[in-house]
Amino acid sequence: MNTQFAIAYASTLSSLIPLFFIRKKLIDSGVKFIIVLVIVSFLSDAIMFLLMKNGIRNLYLAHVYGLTEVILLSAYFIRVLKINQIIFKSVVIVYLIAYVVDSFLITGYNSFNGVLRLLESFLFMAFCLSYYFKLYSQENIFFLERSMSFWIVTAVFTFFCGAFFSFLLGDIILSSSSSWAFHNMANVLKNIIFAIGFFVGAKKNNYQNG
Amino acid sequence: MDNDTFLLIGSTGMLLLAFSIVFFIYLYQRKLIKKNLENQQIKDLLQEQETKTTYALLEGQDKERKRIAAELHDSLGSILVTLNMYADTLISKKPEEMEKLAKKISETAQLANEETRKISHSLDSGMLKHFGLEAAIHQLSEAVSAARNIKFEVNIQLHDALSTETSLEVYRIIQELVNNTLKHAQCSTIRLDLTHIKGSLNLIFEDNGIGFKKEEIQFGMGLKNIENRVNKLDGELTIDSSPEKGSAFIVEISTV
Repeated sequence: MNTQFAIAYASTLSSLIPLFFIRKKLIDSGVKFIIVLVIVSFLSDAIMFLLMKNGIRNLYLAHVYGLTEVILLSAYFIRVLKINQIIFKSVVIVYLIAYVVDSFLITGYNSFNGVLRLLESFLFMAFCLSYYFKLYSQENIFFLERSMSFWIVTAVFTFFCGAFFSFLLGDIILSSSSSWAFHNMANVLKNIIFAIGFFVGAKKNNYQNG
Repeated sequence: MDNDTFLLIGSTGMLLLAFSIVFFIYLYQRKLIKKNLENQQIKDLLQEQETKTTYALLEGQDKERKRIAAELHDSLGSILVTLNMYADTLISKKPEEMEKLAKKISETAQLANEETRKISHSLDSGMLKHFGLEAAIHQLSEAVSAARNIKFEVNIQLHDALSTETSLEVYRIIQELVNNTLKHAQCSTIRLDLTHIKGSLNLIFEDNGIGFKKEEIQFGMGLKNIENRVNKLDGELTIDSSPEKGSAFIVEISTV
């Protein structure tokens, strides 16, 4: 088994780590969107991995996953950021329309929609930075390390930063010997940080506090 | 640069950037929270002193009331009883004795008048009117020294009477000065001189902290409060400070 496959396996299986820390009281809070995302991520990664191993094209699944990811993360951020709902929803809706149009009509469902994934990275990195800005401007969370939302946002930020260049060079990666290793490593990091967030949240459900 | 190297450098750089931002936010937030906690501690300390001052004030008032009651009962009361007794006797006396008794009544009334004047004078004395101020300032300095490990030197000389209102305003000014110093000065010593001699009340409040440029003074809520209180007393506030040389606040009030 070469390193690339090992990292791909690790990336797929890493989704199981946060699932291990899910507790009933987490499901009641806004973090349910993240739990669903982790489950969807695991299933889509596993299916895509199996399809790839069997030489079947799997990019259309990546489009569906990408769309689901945007919807679920937006649903989470809309609760965490509490910013102007109209602007927030408008941005997300415009992006989703663009995503569908690009993925299924312009780029095609069997091609990599790099531009939209790149835009997605920008979008969520901006949301994450807004969250961090809110943190130190409001100063209402005394212990950041005990805040589930801080860990979840950090996981999302880490993932999109780590995978940014993979999205930027997506087409090249698919047509050459380059790998998705960085995207996969970012995914592993994301899942580990999600797990920390769930662990913290299960100890004390402080979502309402930040 | 080939694509793999570009991907490696780019992704690693972005991850490092992400971790740096998160780490910065974490450290910055910790610093802010620490500062907030310190400010809260100062607030609690001053509030605690405020309560103690109120109690000292009430206790002082209570003591003074008791003293006045005892004074009225022991001196003026007994004189009036004597006066009443003379007046009763006057009715049954012969005219030649009446003149003698009338003289006694006049003398006793004079004594009553004298006692009333004495009590009135004591009511107006400095002892009554600046009753808790000195004790309150000492309590505040002790509390600050104990809680913040700061040397707080206090020198108070209140030779003349000071009205209750002025006492309270002066105490509030001192509280605000202490609050500002604890929050911003980073000092190890505070010196407070309060004198009230010949109708002139002088307050000098100094610290050996980081100081500030006089031209960069920002009249925040604390300094504004001090200025308003000084203005209310028709006084004058002088601020002297320079970076790394501490600060001095001088309040001069005429109480005539």
